[in-house]
Amino acid sequence: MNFKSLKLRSMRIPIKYLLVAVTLCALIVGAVFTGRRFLHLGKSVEIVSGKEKGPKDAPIQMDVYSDFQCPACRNALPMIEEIEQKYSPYVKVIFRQFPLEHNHAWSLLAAQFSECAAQQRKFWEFHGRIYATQEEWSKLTDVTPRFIGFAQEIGLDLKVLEVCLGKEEIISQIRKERETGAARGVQSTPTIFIGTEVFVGGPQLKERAPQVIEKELERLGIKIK
Amino acid sequence: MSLTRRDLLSVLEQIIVGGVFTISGWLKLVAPHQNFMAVIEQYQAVPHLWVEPVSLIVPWIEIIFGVFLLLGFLSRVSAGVLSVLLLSFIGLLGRGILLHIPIQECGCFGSLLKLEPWQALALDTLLFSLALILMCFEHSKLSLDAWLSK
Repeated sequence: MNFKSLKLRSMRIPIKYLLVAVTLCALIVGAVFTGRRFLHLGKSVEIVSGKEKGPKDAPIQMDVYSDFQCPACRNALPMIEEIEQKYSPYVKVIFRQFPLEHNHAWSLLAAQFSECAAQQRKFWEFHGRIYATQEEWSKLTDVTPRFIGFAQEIGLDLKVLEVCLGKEEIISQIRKERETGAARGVQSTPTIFIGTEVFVGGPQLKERAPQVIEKELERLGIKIK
Repeated sequence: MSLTRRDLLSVLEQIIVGGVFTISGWLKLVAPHQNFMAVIEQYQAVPHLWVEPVSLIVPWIEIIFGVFLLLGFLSRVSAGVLSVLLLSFIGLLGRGILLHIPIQECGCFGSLLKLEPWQALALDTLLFSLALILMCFEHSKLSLDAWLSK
């Protein structure tokens, strides 16, 4: 056997090329897996009060990273709601801020309003209004009066809201939540985490989430009626 | 060792093409592959059953041959493989633009760099031209190939 080269059919591959290729591939694979370990994939993060829906002790937690101005997030809502209803009371939904400020002019402001609504325990009411009318307010040149209108409709204390909107810490909190999402591997919205499973966009959620949830419930010995 | 202008140009081309693919592959691989699945799905060109396998395989091809080209290892083969990838990206983007498929952004670099489809098309065309040049010339004296062929 010739150790200096391997004969593959008519092609002669010098063994040093094979060794270099294998070494480089091993280094690349090692680097990728090390890089992945730095991500906090699947790890749940602290719940910001007022942005969760469903029983607190529900065994399945859905972390929904979303942007209020993103059409795909609006389109995914019926799928999220379908899962919530189908697997109630075993599922809780947690909304996570992921405003895409560079793409959507009003996403940060919408997130600020929603955080302030959460402080008055009206997050989900505001969430519903804002997604239902997204197409309309997204085209406006100034959305503030429209958002204040929503706040009035859901019964927010406007004086408290005004003080809240002026707080820098609300913006920092939103950006921190977004950074946490990015560290978990979120690149676009909506991205949904169920345990260690990730779903990007409504179609992926609709197709794969029921299997994942049912498997987890089965593991926990819970039978769905 | 006397270096020609072609050697230096080849190194520059290797760094550009190989570097872009290394970064692009890396960013896709360290994030959940479902992100790249969503990117592929938005082009509405890949059969549904193939979306997941493609999302798992393409980033590895990008990073492996990107690193190979960056180091000047199997330069012509690597440039050839990356040219095939680039050609398919150009085809997908061109199809998307022509058919007015709502592509938010190309999805080439994860969350690091958001490119409009026409920007990605321009970048891919430039990279494809550079990769073709690399395929046409002998490897640079500064490449790993040159060191291995001694």
